[in-house]
Amino acid sequence: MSWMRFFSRQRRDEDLVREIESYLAHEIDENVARGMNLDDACRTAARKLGNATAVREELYERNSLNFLESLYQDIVHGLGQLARNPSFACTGILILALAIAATTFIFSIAYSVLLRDLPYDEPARLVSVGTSLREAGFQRTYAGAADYFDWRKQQQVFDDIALTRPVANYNLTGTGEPERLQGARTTASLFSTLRTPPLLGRVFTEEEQLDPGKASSVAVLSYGLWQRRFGADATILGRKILLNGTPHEVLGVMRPEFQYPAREFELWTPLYFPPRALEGRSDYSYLCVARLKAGVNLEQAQAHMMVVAGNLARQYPRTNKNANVFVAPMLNEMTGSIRGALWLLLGAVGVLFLAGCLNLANLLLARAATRSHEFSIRTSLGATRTRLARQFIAETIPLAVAGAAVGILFAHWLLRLLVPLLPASLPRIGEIGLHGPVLAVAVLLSVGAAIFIAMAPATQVRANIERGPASSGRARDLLIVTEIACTVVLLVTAGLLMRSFAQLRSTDPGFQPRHVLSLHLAVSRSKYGEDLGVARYLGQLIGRVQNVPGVEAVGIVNRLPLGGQVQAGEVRFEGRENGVNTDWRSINGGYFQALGVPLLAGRTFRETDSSGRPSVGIIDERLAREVFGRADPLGKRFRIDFPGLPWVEVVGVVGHLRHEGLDRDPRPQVYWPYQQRTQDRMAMVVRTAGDPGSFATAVRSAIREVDPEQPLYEVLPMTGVLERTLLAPRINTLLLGAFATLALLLASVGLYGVVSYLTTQRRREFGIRLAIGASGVGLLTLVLKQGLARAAAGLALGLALSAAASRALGAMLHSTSPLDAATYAGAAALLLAVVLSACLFPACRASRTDPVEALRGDG
Amino acid sequence: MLVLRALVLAPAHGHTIAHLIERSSEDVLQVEHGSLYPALHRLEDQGLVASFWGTSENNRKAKYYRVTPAGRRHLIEERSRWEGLVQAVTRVLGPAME
Repeated sequence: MSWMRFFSRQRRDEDLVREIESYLAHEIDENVARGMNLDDACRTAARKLGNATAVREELYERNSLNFLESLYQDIVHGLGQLARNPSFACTGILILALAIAATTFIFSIAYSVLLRDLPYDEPARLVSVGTSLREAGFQRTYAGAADYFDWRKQQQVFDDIALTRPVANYNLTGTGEPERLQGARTTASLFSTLRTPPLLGRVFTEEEQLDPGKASSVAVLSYGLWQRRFGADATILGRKILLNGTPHEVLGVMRPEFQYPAREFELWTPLYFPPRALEGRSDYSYLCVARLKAGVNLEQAQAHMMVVAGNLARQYPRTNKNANVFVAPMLNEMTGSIRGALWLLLGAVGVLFLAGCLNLANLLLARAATRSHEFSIRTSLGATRTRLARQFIAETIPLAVAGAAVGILFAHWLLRLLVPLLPASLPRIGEIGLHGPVLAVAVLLSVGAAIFIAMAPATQVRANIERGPASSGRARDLLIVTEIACTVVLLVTAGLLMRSFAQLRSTDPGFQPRHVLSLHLAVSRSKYGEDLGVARYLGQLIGRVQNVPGVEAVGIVNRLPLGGQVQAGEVRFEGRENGVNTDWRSINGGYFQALGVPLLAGRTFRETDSSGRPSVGIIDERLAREVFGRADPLGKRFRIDFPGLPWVEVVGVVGHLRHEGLDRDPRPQVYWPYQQRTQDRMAMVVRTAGDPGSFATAVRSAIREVDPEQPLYEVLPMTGVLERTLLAPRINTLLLGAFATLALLLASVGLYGVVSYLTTQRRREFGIRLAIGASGVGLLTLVLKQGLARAAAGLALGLALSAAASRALGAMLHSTSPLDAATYAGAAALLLAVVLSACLFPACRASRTDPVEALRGDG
Repeated sequence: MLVLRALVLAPAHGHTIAHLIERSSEDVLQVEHGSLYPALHRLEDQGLVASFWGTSENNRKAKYYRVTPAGRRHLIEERSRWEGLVQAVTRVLGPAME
């Protein structure tokens, strides 16, 4: 309204001039009628009016933006108020800052990972294409190589489509310290699908991808690798680097934001398939990404690809009968695993934020109650309720600004400090930061909080004036009860997660991780040639490491348990119809002893189980039970259903291992001797007499003795590997715990304030009670009951809300029910204990009221 | 409030209002009539009175003001608050006078 007045100032002034003239005319008429002459009449009239110009000026001024002026005055006044009450100001700013910091921190992570566009051109049009093999027990899985080429021929909904093998070990040698690099072999179309031009040079072409010679002699580097290993040398292009012993020409360097499939990939090389490699159609270990054509949406693409899948099922019934195709947004596929946890954290921090706001609102109400005197005076001087409400908001603005600024600063530090501690496997972890939208949300939250907090005293103004310091009791009760409810929800959630984590931690992985050192190595095929050469090399390594003093057993395996890598597939038992899905492992004889896996029947592998000798295998007890029940599995035979692979006789049964994770256990394991089924990517596990970490150097040297250019990677104690699997749930639990603690602290302080205030209110009443014979203890109980009544209400509300909300935790709870009684009881007990101690001090004070003082007092 | 009271009976223009206030307070409240206009405009901005141009008794153009329903309600509220305040003050001062 005042804006309109501002724009019509001129017109209003003219109107006023006419009005004043009209007034003067009337007055002059009257004066003349009373008998004055015209001059006297004019002068008297003018005198009676007063200073006309002053009136005009005043009204002109008023139509100015004095709304803004008074707002400015209010803010300045508010600043003054804060300055005069530094403890209140500091408390208020701190609470708001903590709430904003926590929320901004979590939202920054959630936004960067889940919401922010991928750093590619038109990222919304990028999709992941994969296969779901329902029968084999995989809901969604990677794409099949053979399928990809058929998709490429038959599809009509994608501009471009690309295939990537998300694992390729490259040993970089010849320049400085040998290092193993994580690379990805991809089709040339990857770069055109993602539409990312390289920073330097070029990427490989399809021609190079289809040529076996060229495909194994070119490479594209990541920005990070170029910086780290090659000092950002601009002459890198065209240079040849030794990867796995073979010279590769560096064609180009990618930009820093190109991190496909993930941050740890530093090399891209052409994905070449020898002519008959895809005939089996059973290789499903690839990632497929595609770009939707303009005008095609996700549903259309999905429907189209399902038709294509149908065609393939008819063409290749043996392999593709039950293979269905799914098309999903690339971002979703990348971040699906982490989504649940992030939503949980967002929800929890939202509850914490609410608790903080409620606490602050309560604080302001308390302060307002003590200022009722001031408000009565202001109201009697003409201030309207709106005016007073505006004043509250204006006073809260300096608080909100300071709180927001400090909060964002805290959030920045939190990000700097804590993001490096996050699991490295977190998708898009490199992109986490305080982006624009995150800051905008932080500011928005501060504004919202300021308004909410100011509303509390603003709506109570009338009550304030009429009832003075005894006002707003209801409102404060409501606030504290809601705050306690929020706290309870956080306590229960944190408790459930803690319980779940403890259960997870104590899950038996199937082996003994203590005193075991693990490390990974990739064998350069170009150096050691065929399987025979690789096996011999591995045997030498095992022998050499075995001789290190203090080493009790050495094992090698192609996939480390809980190491995050999978190699799985079907094996078929002789005489059985159906294959069984299993983890495929190549090991040496000492593997089980090294890891501490029990041998339950038969024997482990021996040196004599080498290439050319009868094929043997070992199965785990779970597989034995599933396939043979109580019958003896020893002597039975199994094989991988692939042309040329032999039947293998079972010579031993061992304990079952958890390979995928402590919370999942999808498959049993089968083992072949490494000499009979040789792999070039192996992990070594070394059982040591003492602390495994201290053996790292000795083991490294032993390996170096055999081949000084063999890079090792991921050298850590087996306990470290376990910890790594537990990192994500541990972080969730810690964060929730932190939130719950913070909320508990706030709630206890809030409740202390409320009870303290109520006690002061009833001083006189207590005085009377004491005077007529009540005991101090009686008063203590009375006050405690007041506090506990509110706490109990909050507790009840909170428990109910928790029961409803904990359902959403679902998949994140291991062996813990969302309604776990012990956790709820524990949370309730903790809350009541804290509440009790918060109320104790004012209660004691009440019991020691001096009746004479109280009665004589303020009255 | 006094302005509203003056207008309750009938719309009037500035000049008349000024005289009404003087007369009804038995000339105790003698203010510069000019200070009336800011008050009138404030009341108008708050929606408690509305203005219109008309012709006065002596055939001159004058800006008239009338009370709005909101204005009437406000008068009743304010009046009771004022009376409450007066009572409170009297109570406080009362015993001291004795």
